[in-house]
Amino acid sequence: MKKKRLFVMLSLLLFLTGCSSLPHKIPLEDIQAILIAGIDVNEGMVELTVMSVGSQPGSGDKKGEEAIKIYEATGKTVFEAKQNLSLYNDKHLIWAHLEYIIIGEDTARAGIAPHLDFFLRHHENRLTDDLIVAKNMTAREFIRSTDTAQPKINEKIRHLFKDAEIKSTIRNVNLKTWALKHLSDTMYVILPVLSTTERTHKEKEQQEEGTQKKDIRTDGYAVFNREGKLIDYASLEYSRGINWITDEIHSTAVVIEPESGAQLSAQIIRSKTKLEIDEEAVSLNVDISLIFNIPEYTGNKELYDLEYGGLIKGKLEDMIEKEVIDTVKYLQSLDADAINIGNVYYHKYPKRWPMMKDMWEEKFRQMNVNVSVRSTLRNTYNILNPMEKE
Amino acid sequence: MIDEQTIKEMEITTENIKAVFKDHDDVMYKVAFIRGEPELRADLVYVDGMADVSSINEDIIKPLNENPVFQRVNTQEEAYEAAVNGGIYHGSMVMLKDMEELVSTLLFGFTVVVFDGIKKAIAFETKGFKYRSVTAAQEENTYKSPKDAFVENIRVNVSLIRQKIISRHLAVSELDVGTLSNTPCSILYMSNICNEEFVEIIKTRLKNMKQEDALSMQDVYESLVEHKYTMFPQAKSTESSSIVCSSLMEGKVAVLINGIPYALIFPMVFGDLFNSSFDYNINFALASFFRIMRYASFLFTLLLPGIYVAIAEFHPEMIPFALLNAIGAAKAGTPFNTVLEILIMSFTFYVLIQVSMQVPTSMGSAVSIVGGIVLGQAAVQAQLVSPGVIVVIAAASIAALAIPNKDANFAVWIWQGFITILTSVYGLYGLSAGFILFLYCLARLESLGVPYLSPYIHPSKMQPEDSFIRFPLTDIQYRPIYLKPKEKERKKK
Repeated sequence: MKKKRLFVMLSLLLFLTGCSSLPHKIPLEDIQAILIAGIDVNEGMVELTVMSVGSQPGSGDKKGEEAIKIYEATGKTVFEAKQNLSLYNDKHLIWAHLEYIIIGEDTARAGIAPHLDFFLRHHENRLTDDLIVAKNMTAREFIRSTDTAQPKINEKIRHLFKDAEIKSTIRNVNLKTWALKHLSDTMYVILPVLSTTERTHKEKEQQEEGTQKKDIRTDGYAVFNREGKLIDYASLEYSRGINWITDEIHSTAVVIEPESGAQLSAQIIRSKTKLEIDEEAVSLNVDISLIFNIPEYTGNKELYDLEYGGLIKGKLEDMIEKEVIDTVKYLQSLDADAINIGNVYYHKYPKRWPMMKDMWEEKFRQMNVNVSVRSTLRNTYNILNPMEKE
Repeated sequence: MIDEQTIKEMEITTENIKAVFKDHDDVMYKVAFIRGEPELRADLVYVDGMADVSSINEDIIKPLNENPVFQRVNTQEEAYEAAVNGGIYHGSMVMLKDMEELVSTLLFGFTVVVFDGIKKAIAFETKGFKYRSVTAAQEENTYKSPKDAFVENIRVNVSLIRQKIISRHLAVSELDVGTLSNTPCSILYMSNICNEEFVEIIKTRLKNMKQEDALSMQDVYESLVEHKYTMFPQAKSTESSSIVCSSLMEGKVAVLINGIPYALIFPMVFGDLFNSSFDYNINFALASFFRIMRYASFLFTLLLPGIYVAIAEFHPEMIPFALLNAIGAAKAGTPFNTVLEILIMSFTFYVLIQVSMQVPTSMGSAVSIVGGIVLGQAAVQAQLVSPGVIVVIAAASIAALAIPNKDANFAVWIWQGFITILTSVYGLYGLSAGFILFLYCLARLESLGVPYLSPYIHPSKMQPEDSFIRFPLTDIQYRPIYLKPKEKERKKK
């Protein structure tokens, strides 16, 4: 009897699912996955541009191919624009595989928060989508001008972000991080910037067709204010400065001039930054310790000479110190605490933060910065002595 | 037609024997006269083919004529006494009480010596029928292990086990099963290890067995198990005497049936499906690896087609874009939906399995050509089914074969189909519901009172040394606790 009851209960599991109907079927062959979405606002209307990939049937022995489609739609809200896509899309569009949300410059300057509400709210989207600002153009222009079949835009961007570690001038920011920073009192939003550039190589067909496809490049950070509006683009140097302070340097190269006429590249292979702030938020101590290698040297001095080694380290440390101080000054001029010192302060003095909160912009603007850099030379790779003769 | 009761009440005479066996031309009668005297007559009855004639000549007729003991007898009574008291020097002798006993011993290959005058008879074992000799196991892996497999003769089979376990604790209890066939059947166990309950249950069930015959293992199996309606085996069947021996040592019970070259080992638990004798003949690390692989293959077989259907039909967001695109591109342009494709291919696979079991080996290659090329490759080229489905079905179905137990293979295939169908209606929800139902069906099973999912259902009693993995044999200190053995610890000197 007990067994029978259990069996009935288990069977009921299937029929009382709590859903009003059976699950909705979306066969794989009937879908286009959206990989890139671009958002622009023009005269109060949201212009949505999406790049989607679906599958095209092959014939005979030929394998099916990817069908890349760019759709454009306009609506009062992002959701309405998304709905409008269904007026003319080829196949059912799914949002689960969206990788990048590109925001046009004008939209970013006007404030992005209202338009990201949909992406955070709707269940189809994921919080891991990365946000990107398109410099000097609308998102639609960006997608149109850079769209190619091989590689697809999302692949190009993915590789760019992967290689960003080499220069450490940007870092990807996903929806979740954005929302966290945007809603927080203590943090300011920065987003990576992509711009387009003339093709560095031209493919044969494109030359013949004369199409004007462009390459994508990363272009540092876009700095946002409290209201979520873009205020300025940080240069590559300042972007790296931001990364020095926020401890996001994985690897980067700093070129110094140890003696006149000789250049030395220092490749930072590891770096650790510690921030300290006093209770009155008057001065900020930035303590950077790093390890570097020397992959190139155009002078003729003995690199392992103690005195000369000290000189190299000193120059490198001064250079980084200057870069960091310049970055802070630049951010102070923008009144934007993009390096999240407020957050550091809040974690150290949580009780004082409510008092400090309202005058933080003022405090940040007047803050003194002390930078100390400690560097260690790890190696000079395969050769010890310089190639240049004395 | 003489009924049982009448036979039992009959007097033991040659005439009566002839009456009972009037339609039996292979029952042979021979008259022997002691010292050639007609008064001292003994009738020999045996079944041609079952009894060994030279043994009759040497062991019965020769002593009757030549043994000096018989020179002194004067009546049939004296002759009977002389025969019983060693006049006929034969190791195996039965003094028959009634006609019923006479009939059964006669049919079992004994030769009956009837003394008509005093209505008494003695039976001598002169079994001489032919049986297959012991050969290497054909269905089971015998890597680095004894090769001898059971034959159809129960005496030989028991002797194979006796040869390996030379211990007074090896108990063999015998009884006949089958209300008509009276097939001899032996229950083997280690009297110092095995839980008595098991033996009692098996004896009771065998005695109460209602089958008329015990010609196939299933006759006995179905009378012995608790749950007839499950597809999962509740007793391990093996043709290898060494597997029986190692099971006896763990505290299990083996049932041997005359005429069937397999032993049934009770009780069986879920973990036994994944154990192979191979595991105990290779390095423990390798054995553990293979065992984990078997469990993985089992889950793979059970769930993969379901997962594929769930992803391809309901939840495209579950898989990375690259995979989605690869599957989608292969799928595009085929006429049926994924569920139907999976069901068609599964059906085809079941048919192929069926066919390969039925057809003679000479036609096997034709089947594999049709199965492999026509159904697999050509179906894809003609864009009738997508290659993804073929890969999934092939991988999932073949993975089932990694489970050493054949009965379990079939059971898993059936459950696979069931779960796939549930998934095709309910998506991932159906997949989980199907899997829960599967676990429920396993959890409610018991084999001789031992929960089927032992030892995994008792984390406290879990003995990791011989479960998902296997420790070095010297480190396996305890017998499986779920068998409740009399001696929990293995004797180590």
